[in-house]
Amino acid sequence: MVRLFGAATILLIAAGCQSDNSPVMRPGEDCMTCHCTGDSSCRASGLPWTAAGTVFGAYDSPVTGGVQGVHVMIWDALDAGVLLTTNEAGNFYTGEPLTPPLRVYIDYQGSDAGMLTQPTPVMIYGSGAAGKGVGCNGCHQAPDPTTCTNGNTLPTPPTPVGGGAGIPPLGRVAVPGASFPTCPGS
Amino acid sequence: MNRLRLQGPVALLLALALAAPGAASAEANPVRQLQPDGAAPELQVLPGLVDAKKKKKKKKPAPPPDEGTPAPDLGSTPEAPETTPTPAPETTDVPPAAKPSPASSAGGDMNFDLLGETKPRERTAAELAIAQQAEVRRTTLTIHQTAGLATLGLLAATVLVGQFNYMDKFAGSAPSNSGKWETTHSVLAFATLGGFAATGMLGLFAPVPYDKPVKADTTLAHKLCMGAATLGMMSELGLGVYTASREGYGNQKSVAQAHQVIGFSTLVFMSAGASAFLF
Repeated sequence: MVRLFGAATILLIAAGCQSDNSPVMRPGEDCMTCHCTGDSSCRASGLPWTAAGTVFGAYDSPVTGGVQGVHVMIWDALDAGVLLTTNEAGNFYTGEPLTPPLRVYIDYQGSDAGMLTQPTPVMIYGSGAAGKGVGCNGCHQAPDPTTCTNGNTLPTPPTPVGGGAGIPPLGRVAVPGASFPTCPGS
Repeated sequence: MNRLRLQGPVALLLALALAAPGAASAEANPVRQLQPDGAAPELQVLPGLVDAKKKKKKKKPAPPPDEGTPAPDLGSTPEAPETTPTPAPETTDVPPAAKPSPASSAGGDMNFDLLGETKPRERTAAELAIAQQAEVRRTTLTIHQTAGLATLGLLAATVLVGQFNYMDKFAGSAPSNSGKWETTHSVLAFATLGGFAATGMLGLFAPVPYDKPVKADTTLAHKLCMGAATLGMMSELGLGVYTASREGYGNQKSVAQAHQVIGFSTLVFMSAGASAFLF
């Protein structure tokens, strides 16, 4: 009986270790392709994100070049905010209710930066924005981090500023000396 | 002269008594017997001393009252007749159970047959049914015990991997959040739940062919601990699913902490329940 339990456990564990659905899945891809609601293409409708994306060290970073430990602060139109932290793949995500347009800031090793543009799902996905949140990778993706999914183009991002090296470029960065809101939960 | 002559053996005896492991040798060989001419030397006090030691060591039964000495007057009236203590009458009645049976007496062996002759009798149908149910119960509970220990191991693995999962997701200011322990934790958790349910069913539905009154013993401790573990398991099932559903929400960490605490508590209760029978 003990051997049977042991063998079954080992088999289950071995079978369970092969999973593609994890927080580090598919860095750099648009999360809202699956993590949405109201469409049959939303294969991860059980976990619909209101905002999600990946932070890379550079525009031309490979998909394995995500930066871990970047704090992403998101404030919505109702001044509700969330504080997220990128995982070892650079991914971040939230399902907290957020009302666009959003204000996005990042903090990494003491340096801050923020987007000049306040993104909305419509700005990213156009008419297909129903049931989708703000997918950062809908626009900020290789090889052109300024072209969104619906063809909208963003202004060419300036050189990252706001503290110097170490800040992953967002495509939109704040000017030096900008004041940032207090992190939610801090 | 005589005194000088006795000092030799006395000194020898004293030396022997000191060298002997106990002073009982002095009791066995009183000095008086060593007197060659039967004289009463000064050392006759020694047997008295030995008797005093005996009295200290052993409580002798009270000697029977001397018939010649009158009983003390304890305030009785003068008209009361004098009562002389009489020895207790000897009881000649022997309980039937203590009487040697004729068979054992006739056999000449020194055995006692206290219960009399036992005739092997055939079992009734009810007794046979009870015996059969007892055998089924024994087998069921043996499987219950083995499966329970295996489930305990599964639960320990689940809690351990769950702790790894928690640390991967929430530890530090920049957790990995790789989710590499999530699937393993889920598989182990459901295997533990299945094993726990099956083991519990075996214990609950094992036949009980004889009366088992509830009393404070290891069985009661086992049942209480396993009842608490059952509550923990049920809450862990709901809490675990709810924790997973809070992925991406701010309260996931607090829900996971509750899940973690209840998981460790369940492990403690189940370990205690198993230990109640193991030790």
